[in-house]
Amino acid sequence: MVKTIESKAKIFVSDSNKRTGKSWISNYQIPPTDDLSIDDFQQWGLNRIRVLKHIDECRINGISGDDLNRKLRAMENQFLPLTNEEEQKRDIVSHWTLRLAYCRPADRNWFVTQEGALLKWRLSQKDDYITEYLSDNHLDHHYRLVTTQEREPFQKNLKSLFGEKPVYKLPFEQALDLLRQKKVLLHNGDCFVSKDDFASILVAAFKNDLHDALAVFYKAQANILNQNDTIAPFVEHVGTMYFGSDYGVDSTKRSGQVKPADIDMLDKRSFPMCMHNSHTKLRETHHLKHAARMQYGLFLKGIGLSLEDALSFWRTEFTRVMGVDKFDKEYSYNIRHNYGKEGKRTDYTPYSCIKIINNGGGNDHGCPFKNFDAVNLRVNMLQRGVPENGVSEVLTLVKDHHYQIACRKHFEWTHPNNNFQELSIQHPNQYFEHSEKFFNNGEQAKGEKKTEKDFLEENQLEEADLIALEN
Amino acid sequence: MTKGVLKPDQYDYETFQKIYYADREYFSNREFSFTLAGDVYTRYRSFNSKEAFHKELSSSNPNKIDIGAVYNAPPNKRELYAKSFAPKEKELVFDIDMTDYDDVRTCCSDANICRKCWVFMTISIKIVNRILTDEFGFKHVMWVYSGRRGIHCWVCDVRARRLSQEARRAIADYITVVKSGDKNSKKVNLGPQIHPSQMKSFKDVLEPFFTEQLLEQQMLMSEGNREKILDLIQDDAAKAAILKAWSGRNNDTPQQIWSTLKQTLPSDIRGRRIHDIIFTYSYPRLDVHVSVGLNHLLKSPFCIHPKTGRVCVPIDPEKCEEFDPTSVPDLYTLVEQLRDNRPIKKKDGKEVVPTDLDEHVKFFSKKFVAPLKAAIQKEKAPTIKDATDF
Repeated sequence: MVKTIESKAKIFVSDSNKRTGKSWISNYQIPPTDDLSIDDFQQWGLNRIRVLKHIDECRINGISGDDLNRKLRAMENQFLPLTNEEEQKRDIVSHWTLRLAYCRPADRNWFVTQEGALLKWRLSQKDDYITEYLSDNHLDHHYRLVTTQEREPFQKNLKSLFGEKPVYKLPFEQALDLLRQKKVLLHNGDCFVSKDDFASILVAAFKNDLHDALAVFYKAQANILNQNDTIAPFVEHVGTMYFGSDYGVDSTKRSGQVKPADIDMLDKRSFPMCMHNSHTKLRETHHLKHAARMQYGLFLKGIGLSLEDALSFWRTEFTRVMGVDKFDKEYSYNIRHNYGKEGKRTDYTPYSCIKIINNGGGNDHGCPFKNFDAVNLRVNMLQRGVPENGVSEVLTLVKDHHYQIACRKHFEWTHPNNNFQELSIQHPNQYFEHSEKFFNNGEQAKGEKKTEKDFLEENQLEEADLIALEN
Repeated sequence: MTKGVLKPDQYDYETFQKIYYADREYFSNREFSFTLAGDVYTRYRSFNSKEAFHKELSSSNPNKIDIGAVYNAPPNKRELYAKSFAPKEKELVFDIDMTDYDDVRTCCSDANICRKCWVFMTISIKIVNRILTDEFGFKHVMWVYSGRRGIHCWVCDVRARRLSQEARRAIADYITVVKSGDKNSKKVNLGPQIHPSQMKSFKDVLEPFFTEQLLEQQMLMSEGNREKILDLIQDDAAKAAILKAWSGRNNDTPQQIWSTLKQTLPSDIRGRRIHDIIFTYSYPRLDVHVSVGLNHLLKSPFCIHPKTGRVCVPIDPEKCEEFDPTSVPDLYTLVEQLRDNRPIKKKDGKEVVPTDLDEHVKFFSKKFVAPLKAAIQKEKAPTIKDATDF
């Protein structure tokens, strides 16, 4: 793999292997230099992405405390264990793999946030981990525990702020968050912070360094990938991979479940905003442009509209503004193509949220939470029965570019008292499925309170799961 | 008062040592703004040399000079650098303005000040100066009278000049206790437990000044003002008890009224409520925006305030109780003195006309510029090139 990195890394080789602590937690200052098979390279990278995505989902869903701990421990045990030297190697290699994949400016923040959260969680696992992390990564020159003797002159004030907790001392510039919150004791340009707060400083420093390193790395990325065409496709696509169900593989099973006559009713109660928008535009103008036909057509296929029904559905609508001949000649091919009956006969799968969001879009397709202005969104949500306070909640999320979270909030407001506490919307067909489950089971719909076992099974790494969206 | 600044040939260029520091590039990348006659505000001026600065000053004769940040390129050529043009360094500055105290001062309002309300500024200097020097470890802190109703503070240590915007915000937030511009009656937020830094400010400055001087603000003397204080107590039973204890004692001094209030407060909330009241009525109120923005400008020391004609002279924090804003030199007096006073010969043979400004310039160069210069030479004047990235 990492030939280019290797040649660069020789400079730092130093004593990267002399790890003494038992935390095995790295701050990834030193790039890996080992030879590696391409399979390991990909597999380890994918495993790490799963963990990072999971961390992100937990955050989105507001999972914290013991719940978060339990979930992350299960996730780490399976995909990113860290108990010996070999596992540490995987941890370091996979981190550097993802640096390569996520160094683009648009991807950086996400990666840095999740890596920071992972480090924070790991440091919190044992009392000694902070000390070990410091010495393992040669940070103990920068940060020191304050000795009892040093505490002496400040003892009264330290006690009133931190009790008897251990205290670290560092320049105030490195503890800005704590300074702002007055959680430090300042003396002559240095500040004392409690051990608990110190962990968040280490994480902030790590995130800062990582951010800078990614910016530098980005410049080298093209070069590295040019010289390594075996890893280039993986690295380029891994960032936009979607790991959930593809809502297409078993479409034969669902096919026929939905009839054209049901669509208006289903739209009203269970379509996510994006599909509702396409459907509304279709009913209004009796036409949709190609990109919208793909997005909406594949969604309909995914919820169980058969090819024959799809042809009839689109034909009925389109022929209100054009002749049947024109439709059959110019549009039916496209619909048959979606169902894998034309061209290279690929059985296309419905688009996931990431794809829809990244595809851009116009007024008849794409993600409305991203594309619509606030006024338009407000009108749409009010029409769908979201109350005023719900609307403003969603609009705030939209303003911060949290489109998928906005969509989930929209789901919550239109499905009152639902039990899907941990639902995160990743796919329009998933939105639809959950919505239908809610309405079909009445108000007692069983939210999927997943057990740890279910959860792990669902997250088993299977080739079929890995649908690179660009394919 | 349109011709604001002294005639350029009488301008003391020593004044600009502080913005010149030791490095030529540092000066030429520094932004100045001139406010010209008719309130024409011109930003992004910069000068290659003292001589160029001198020349421009003579020809445009501005009413006011503001000092901005040091950029990564000369501000007057910023178009050439387009988007990469950005501020790199600036003194850490603070702006405290009397108008932020209008809800607690009763002697004056708006732009007016008197010695009574100047106490708020004295308190601010004492507290902020201690925090900056003892807690943050800064050594080159200069306080300047803004010429009308406020004070400015310039922290010029290298470490302060290189602070990021985020760091400036954190420092300002750390010092801030009273959120100004807030319409709520309770503006002060001391958190669940009073911080040792605030406790020190309270014991050393706030409490003595409050009881000895600020009570003169009559905040306990009228029903309306008493109402404001009682609002901070947030406990109806305690409020009623205090009103009862006050009633019928019309000849009490403010100090007696205050101690009645203190003694009547139930002991479990007494400490907290007294803190709330005293902090609300006397703790420094910073204009945070001025401190945070790297590209924010602040009026140069020794300018003439365009409205009052007073010179923006430095204030010695050690003797800030003695400072009287109403007796600083103003332009009229200085012009008269320059016209009427007899010139004296200095050691180097030059003839100068003594004025009231001399002691202020002397204080500035001896107590501020000289130590700063020495410190910079000691550090071998790190240039802007190796300044850390923000």
